[in-house]
Amino acid sequence: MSFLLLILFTLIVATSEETEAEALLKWKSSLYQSGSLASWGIRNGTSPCSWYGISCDPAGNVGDLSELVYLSLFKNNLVGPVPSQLSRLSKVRHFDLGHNHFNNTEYSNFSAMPSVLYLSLFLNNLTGVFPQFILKCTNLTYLDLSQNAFSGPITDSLANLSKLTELYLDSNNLIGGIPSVLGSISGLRILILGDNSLGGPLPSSLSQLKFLERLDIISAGINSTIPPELGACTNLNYINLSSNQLSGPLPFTFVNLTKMREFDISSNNLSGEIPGEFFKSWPELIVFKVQNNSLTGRIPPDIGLAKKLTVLWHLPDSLSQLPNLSFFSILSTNLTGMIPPDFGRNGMLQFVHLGSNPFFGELPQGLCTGLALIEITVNMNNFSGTLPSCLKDCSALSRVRFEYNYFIGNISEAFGVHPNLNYFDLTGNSFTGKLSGDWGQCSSLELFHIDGNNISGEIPATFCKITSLKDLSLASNLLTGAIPMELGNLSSLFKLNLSDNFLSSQIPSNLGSLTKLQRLDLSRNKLSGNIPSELGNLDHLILFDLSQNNISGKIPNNLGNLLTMQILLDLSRNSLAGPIPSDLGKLIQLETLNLSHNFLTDQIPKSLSSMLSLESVDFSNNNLSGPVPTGKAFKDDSPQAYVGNPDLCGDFSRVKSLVMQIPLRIHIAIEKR
Amino acid sequence: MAIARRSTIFAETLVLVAALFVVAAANSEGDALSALRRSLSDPGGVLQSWDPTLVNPCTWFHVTCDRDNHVTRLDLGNLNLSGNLVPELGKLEHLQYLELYKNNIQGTIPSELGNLKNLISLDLYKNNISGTVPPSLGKLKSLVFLRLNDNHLTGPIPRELTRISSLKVIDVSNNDLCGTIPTTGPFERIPLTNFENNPRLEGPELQGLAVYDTNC
Repeated sequence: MSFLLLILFTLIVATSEETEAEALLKWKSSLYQSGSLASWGIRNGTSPCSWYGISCDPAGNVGDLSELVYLSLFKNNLVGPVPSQLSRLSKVRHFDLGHNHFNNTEYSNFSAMPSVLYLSLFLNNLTGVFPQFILKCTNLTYLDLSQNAFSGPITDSLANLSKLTELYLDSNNLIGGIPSVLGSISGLRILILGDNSLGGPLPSSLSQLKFLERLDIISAGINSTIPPELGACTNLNYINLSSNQLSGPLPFTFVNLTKMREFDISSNNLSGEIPGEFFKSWPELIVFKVQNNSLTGRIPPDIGLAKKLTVLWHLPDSLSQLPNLSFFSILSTNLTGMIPPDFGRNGMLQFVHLGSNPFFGELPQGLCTGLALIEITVNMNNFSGTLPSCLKDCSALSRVRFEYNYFIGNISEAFGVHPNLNYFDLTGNSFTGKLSGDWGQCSSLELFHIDGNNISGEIPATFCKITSLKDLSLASNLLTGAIPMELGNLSSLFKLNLSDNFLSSQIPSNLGSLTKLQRLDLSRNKLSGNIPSELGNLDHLILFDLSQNNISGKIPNNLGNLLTMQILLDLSRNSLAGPIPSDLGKLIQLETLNLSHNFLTDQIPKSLSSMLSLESVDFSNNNLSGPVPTGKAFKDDSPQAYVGNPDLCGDFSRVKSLVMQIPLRIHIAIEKR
Repeated sequence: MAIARRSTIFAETLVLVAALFVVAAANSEGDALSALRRSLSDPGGVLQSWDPTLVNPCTWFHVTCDRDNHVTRLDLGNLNLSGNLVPELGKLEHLQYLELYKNNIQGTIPSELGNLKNLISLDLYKNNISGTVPPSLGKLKSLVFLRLNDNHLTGPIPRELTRISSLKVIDVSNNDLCGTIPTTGPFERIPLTNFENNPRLEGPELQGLAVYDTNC
């Protein structure tokens, strides 16, 4: 079929002087030929009717496109300019060149197409200003120039297309505002202008469009209030004005838009309150999105009247009356209040996103009625109390973020077995209880954070079955017992933080198997024994903190193999003895080194001068002796980095005292005169 | 732009669900990182958590954000990544540490990296990066660590780098750079070993003489 169309294409391009044969041969010469067109040639007679692949009509013509009514070249791989000869199809009514790679088109050679009703250049690489020839196609009802790179303004003369019902100009580089004359195209039903740099106001003249059903001007730099006159467009069922700079209030006149189904004015600067009357008057409402504005006040209780509502981005009071609500999100507002106690009663809630608002009170017990919850993210609010008891039976749970609230309760009673759980963060609450062995059954778990709670007991060994685990943080709790050596089985782990607990006993040597580990923090525990030399295998490590423990023995030489160490190497406040290994000098990316408050002896190795990335060192309170290495990091530090080492000497301390004496001498000399 | 978000789950469970689930993807830093992800090949699946439908990239693995949810660190060293860097990286205005060392990254260093005005560390060493060192890196007024060693970089060492007074570590060894080694500003302190194994690099520039032709 496309072959036939291409032939017809060629024939349109034929000038009045060229014959059909000449046009076909011209086209043949532009093709890569496999020999199948060998029969095409003037020597076989001037008529192409006997050529391979060609049939003629009784008059001996290959084709006559002057009667063509419907042309669609949609979704091919056509490149290059649109030939202006195409516009000579004077009878064509449907003209669709969409979804190709047309570019570099010179529109001035195009004739007006008097019959065309449907014209689409959608999704090409067309540039230039609004093609003038289109403005003469006065019978147009459907015009689509979207997803190109047209530039310049939307010309006022567009109003000449008085019969337009659908206008798509979105996703171009159009500037210069929305022309108010668009309001005079009285039959317009669909107006899509977004994803341009239009700027300017939303014209109140659009209120003249009595048949307007769909108004979509997303992300076009529109800067004005929403004209209340738009309330006269009573056929509107879809409004999307998101991601502009609209300001001022939501017009009360919108209560007249009784056919409204999808309403999105998110990501603007709108202020004032949401009129509750909207929900009384919009019985067909399905989508309501007003987030990322400066809207204030309570959510109108009348929202409970919008029975068909399924996508809601704002918090109401009578939420629980919405029978179909499954997806519910309010993020980063200043809205406060509590979630209604029977919210979730509809048993349909799957996605609840309430991050970063000052909401308070408890999560309703019925939140997970229906056990359909897949995601619940309520991080950074002021929620308190215990979690709904149905949560532990929500086997579809995938993403849980409760961090930074005031939740209490026993973590093992709040949660059960969640085989689809992928992301779990309870950081910064007051949960108590012990870690249950059941967590081992969470075979999809990748992140588990319970930092900053009051969790006690030991780290269960079954934890270590979660081989998908990538980020494990149990810091700042009341955990006791040993670090299970089975933790070494968590081969996907790139972050391990067990700091600030009461963990005791030795560091298991098979932590050295965690070769993907980037950050290891075991600081502030009661760990004892030696630093296992196997930890020198962790060749992805960028942070390593064992500070504030009871670790003894020597610093293993092969910590010098941790060549990617960058952020911090901190072994301070332990009972480490022996010398500082000179191999540490190989850590040329390390920025902060803290070995203070140990029993390290001998000299600070000269090799440490090669640690050119060092910004900060601390060797204080050891038994080090000898000189301080050369190098900027060792000179520029305050004496605090070296105090408590009685036998340490060095250029550093001498230089400092010289500097302090000189000003005194000058002072005396002046006085004597 | 409408993006169907997990539409398969909804199709099964809810009949009356609106077909349109529009996610306000208004986070430009997440978009920039998504552009990087599309341009990289990731056999280890380390970027699998990079979900562009999330409101910001701060819960993505290997991404660190500050309190205002701006990306400050990208720790992607030694993760078996290949593919190219993207100019969108230049939009991460609060980025301090760009760690992409020891991968198989090809292509060139986008000059847009010069827009990262808070960048402290740029570690692209041990990759397959080619092309020149963009002079726009001279705009990185907070830069302390610049490690581009062990790539296939060509062209001169841009003199613009001499104006970054905070620069402490520069390593361009094991490349194919040409011309002379700057000796002013931060370059006064850099050991010559950090320039070695650039066969066409002629040595330190000689100050005070007339401008002479280099092989660059």
